[in-house]
Amino acid sequence: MRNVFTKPHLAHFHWLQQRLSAFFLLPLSYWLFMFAERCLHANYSEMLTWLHSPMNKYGLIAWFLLVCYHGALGIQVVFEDYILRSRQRLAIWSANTFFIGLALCAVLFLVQI
Amino acid sequence: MPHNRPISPHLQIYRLPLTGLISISHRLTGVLLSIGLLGLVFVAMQITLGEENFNQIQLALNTLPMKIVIIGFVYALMFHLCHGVRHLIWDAGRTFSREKLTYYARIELVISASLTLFIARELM
Repeated sequence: MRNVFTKPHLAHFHWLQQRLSAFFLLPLSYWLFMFAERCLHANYSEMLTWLHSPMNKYGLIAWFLLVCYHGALGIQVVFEDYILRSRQRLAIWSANTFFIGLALCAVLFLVQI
Repeated sequence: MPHNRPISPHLQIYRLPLTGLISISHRLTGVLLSIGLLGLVFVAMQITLGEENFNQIQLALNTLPMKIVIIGFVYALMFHLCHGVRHLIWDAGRTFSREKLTYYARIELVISASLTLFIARELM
């Protein structure tokens, strides 16, 4: 375990980021479910009140950012295992663009509210 | 770096044991959840656009087909989460014997289903 921290290698670093993001996503899921519950049942002003609380707004933004990061890391591994090497770069680049785009949109929308 | 990494695993060739099925489902749910993220960002956009848009999206989310999609998303997330926790336990070097692998695979399925039921009841 110590080697992972003291001798950084690209694959180890990827592994570590995947695990750390997963670990921090566990508690952050709370905001996802609170958000989902309000999307289904709260009226508009209740939704705004909930989102105007900094704790909720930044909790949800943190969830979106971290989940996009975790997703990009995960999809990269899937593509490395299932897509021919000649097409891997393009596939991974596309996936990263997708996740960066989603993260940016999520932050832009939530900050505005 | 030599370009000799194999494309793997060949799912159509091997009959996978329960642990293998769960492992590939972990990946599959990861991909599906990523697609589901699009929906969440779309809902966030509708909130930004104003009350009318929010009311419309809320109406759509409360229809039966969308409720089924939402419960599917929750199950995929709970399954992915439970298997992810097991990866964290594996990373600590524990529960690698064959019996334990199958035992915890079953536990994982039960816990993810229970969590989904609990959350679905709270959400719906």
